[in-house]
Amino acid sequence: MMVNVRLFGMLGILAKERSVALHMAERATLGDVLAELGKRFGREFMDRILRVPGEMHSYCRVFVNDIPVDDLGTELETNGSVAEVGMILLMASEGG
Amino acid sequence: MEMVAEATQTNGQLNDAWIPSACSLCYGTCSILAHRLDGVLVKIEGNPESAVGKGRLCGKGVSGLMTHYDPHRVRVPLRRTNPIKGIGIDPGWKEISWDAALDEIAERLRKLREDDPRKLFIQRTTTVTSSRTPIQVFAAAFGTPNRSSAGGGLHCGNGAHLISGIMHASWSVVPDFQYCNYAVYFGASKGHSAGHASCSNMGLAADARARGMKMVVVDPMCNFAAAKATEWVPIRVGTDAALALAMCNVTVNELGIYDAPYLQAKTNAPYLIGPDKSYVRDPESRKPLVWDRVVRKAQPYDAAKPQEMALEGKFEVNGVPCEPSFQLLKEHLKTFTPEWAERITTIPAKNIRRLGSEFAREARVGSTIVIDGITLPYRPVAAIAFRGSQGHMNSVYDFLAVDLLNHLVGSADMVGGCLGFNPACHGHPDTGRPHFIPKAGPDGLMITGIWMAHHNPYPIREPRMPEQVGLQDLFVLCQTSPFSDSSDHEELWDKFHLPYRPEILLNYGTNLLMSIGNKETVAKSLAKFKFIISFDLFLTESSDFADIVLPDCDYLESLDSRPNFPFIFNLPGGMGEWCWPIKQPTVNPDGQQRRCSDILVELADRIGMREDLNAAFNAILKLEGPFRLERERRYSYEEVCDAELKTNFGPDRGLEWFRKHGVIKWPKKPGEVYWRHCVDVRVPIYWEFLPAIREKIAAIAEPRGVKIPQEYYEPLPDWIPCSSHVENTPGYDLFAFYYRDIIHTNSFTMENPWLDEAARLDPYSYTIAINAETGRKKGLKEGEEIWVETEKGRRVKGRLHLTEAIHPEGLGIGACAGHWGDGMPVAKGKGVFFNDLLEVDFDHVSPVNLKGLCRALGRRNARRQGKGRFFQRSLRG
Ligand code: SF4
Repeated sequence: MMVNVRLFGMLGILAKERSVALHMAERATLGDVLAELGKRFGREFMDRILRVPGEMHSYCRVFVNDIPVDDLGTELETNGSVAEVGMILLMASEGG
Repeated sequence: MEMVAEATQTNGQLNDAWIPSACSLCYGTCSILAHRLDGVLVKIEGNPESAVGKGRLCGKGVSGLMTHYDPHRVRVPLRRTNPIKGIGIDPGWKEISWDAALDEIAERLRKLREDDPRKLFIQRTTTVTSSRTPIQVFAAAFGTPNRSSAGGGLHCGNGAHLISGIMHASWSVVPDFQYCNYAVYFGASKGHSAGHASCSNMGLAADARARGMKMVVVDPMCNFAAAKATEWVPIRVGTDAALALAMCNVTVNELGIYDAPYLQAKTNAPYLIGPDKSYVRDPESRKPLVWDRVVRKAQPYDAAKPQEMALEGKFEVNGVPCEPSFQLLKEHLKTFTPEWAERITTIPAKNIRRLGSEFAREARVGSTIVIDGITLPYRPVAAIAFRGSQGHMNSVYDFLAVDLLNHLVGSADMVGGCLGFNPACHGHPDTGRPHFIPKAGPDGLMITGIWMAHHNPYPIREPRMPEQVGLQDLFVLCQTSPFSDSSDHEELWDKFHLPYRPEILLNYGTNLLMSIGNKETVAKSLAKFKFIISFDLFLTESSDFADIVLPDCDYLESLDSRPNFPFIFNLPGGMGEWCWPIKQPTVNPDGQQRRCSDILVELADRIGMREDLNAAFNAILKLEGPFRLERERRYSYEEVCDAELKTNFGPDRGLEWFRKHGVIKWPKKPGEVYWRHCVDVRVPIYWEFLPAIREKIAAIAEPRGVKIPQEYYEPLPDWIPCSSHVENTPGYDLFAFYYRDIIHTNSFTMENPWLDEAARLDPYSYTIAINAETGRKKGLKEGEEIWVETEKGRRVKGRLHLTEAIHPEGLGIGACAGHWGDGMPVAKGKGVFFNDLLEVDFDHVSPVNLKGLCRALGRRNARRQGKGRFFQRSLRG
């Protein structure tokens, strides 16, 4: 299946690519997609996404076909012929 | 005329309207009705239709017109012409057009983003809660992790929020006023002053006191809360943890009162702890083990029935000796006798025993109550801490020790007990939104259902080499940090090989020079920025360091779909109503002022990051379905607000509906308010994760010469003195502390003439308070002008007020006053600039959550402090 990953904010700047097209096996999961991104963009990139192996930081937001997903085991569904994945980091601190 | 929550009514010839909106003169964000007559605002009242404020306003809220119509507001964009920056140096302001200003800003930001987006540092005031969304969105879209809050600044509740989050899934805690019979406040003012759900809480607290709730206020100063309390307990500054731990000891060891079923089911009290201070885990599942008293063997915590879990005893599991964490806590507490605590706190041991005993007995452990047909545990006692008690180097333990009282008697989020503000919401009946409920995370411990920041308090992040200028990614238990402004930040950044330096500061409404610490230190850090953009209402002392000042709209000219944060911040806790208000313009600006939220959207477009901005709005506001922003389309901020409201409340309840109605409300259910009884989550009375976090931080920090002290990272709370408590320099014999004045917000409201007049009439607002007897011993006289000096040689001057209402060792300074700039002429020269006494460096903050910035501390929102002495008196004048 085809997966289009859009990297917003810092992730796009780090990867130096804002849109990544991946060929994935049928029934690929979000975790598979992240593993593929890790191969392309390296450990530093992945450290910003994963808190520990198998779990994303609470400030990493991922949308699959515009639906928020935080379980890496979620199987991707294609929206027509392509699954759309969007990712953004919300890292800022808060106080008050 | 009759007050109605409708946008406009005509009355004969006059255009006469009462417009529902939201106050933003503090982060309480009470709902208001603004009365506009022929285009002029003539009055502001509370909106009785809203649960946020419940129709009440404080003195600041009533006085908003005077800020709005202040002739000294910035009305045009300004560009500095003098490249030299410093305190007292004239920037040489020149008026420029909005287009010229935005062209220059966008060009600089675009280049910076291409180079390294982390070089942008964004700072916003906490005063305006609705600034949170547009600024967080802009930061996420730009790609910078460097965003912080000032205003509350370093005086923010780093400890209060962290621990309220981990233990109550909320930003802060409050008594369940409707059912509480006995509340003990430690450096808190909930229901008696400004802050979260301020005006609503004031009504609830007053009703509770009238009903007979006993209120004990532990505080070095008898001011806003203590003055209305049943009992004021004067305490030596910064020693709250010692008192709280002694009260815990009285409860558990002297009286043997604790809520075993609560501890078994809702905390990690039964988890077995090995000699290494860590959980003993199931070899296969790695889950923490408990001792099952029925089958007489260890089981994973989720495999045994809570009532069968041992809380006490010594066991051996797979050859490892171990004890339930409650057993360890019980032993640990024995150290903290009332006699020991008397020496630390100056509170007589017999009083400590009485307070512990009253708290434990009033908890009525084992009792139940029926609310709306549901039987719930009834624990009508609450131990409440806030900024005062956590504004020290011992911040984490100070707050945790107080909260432990609630968990020992099972009053956490139970009827009558200590409530987090609204951590569980099942949503509006029509849409089921917003919906959030705490859930179990690693080791069964609670993860919040919603949080103001995007890094949840639990699970704790993994410490790593920092890339944030505040080092929050190394000190993972902190929120705001002093290291963007500290005197040692370059040294720290060098040690941690920070791969860049901040170059541009985007400031929204903060006056950093006054809200962080001593002005020389902060000025040095501000002067280092290559470019500063500042959205301001007035030219403040910090605006003088800006390159471009943009004239901001005030709250009466602004629009936001979420002036409050849902619902863990502004909405009162306890039974009642859910309530979502909006903020909307009540008049148009009278100059060239524009809303920051609109400008950020425009800047994003000019920089070329529209897609990122839309993605960030979708993520942060959780926009869904047809209301999700399309990737490439340009939206106004109004359209974004409309999308958020429709996402949450349906297509018929967008901005237009809210403009007319002001708020939407629906009733709370007992299962939401008293969620803890219904949700299967646990909280840690034993912070098993702390030593491991320390090891990871130390592994990075200590090879680079930054010592991470072990004693602050033990799993059970302790009292650790601040440096003020061990300061022995002769003559420095008073603990100076700051407290938040009820009639002022941070440094901002001193410019308001009505509030200034009230403050001048108040004997405390603009003075330095010390105990009358202490003053007499020092030969000081009421009303004379004195200097206060710290052992580091920092000094401030002010008029003395002698009073019985302060601890004999205390020195209290109210508010964040003492402006010296010309941009706020009403404020200039009024009051005392307490923060100028404060060092801003690693040695003066908690090594856990970077809270403190002091050496001991005061309360009542005091935060920290230095040990002071009077070294000179001068004549009045
Ligand atoms: S408590 Fe804060 S938000 Fe409420 S009226 Fe007063 S200043 Fe305004």
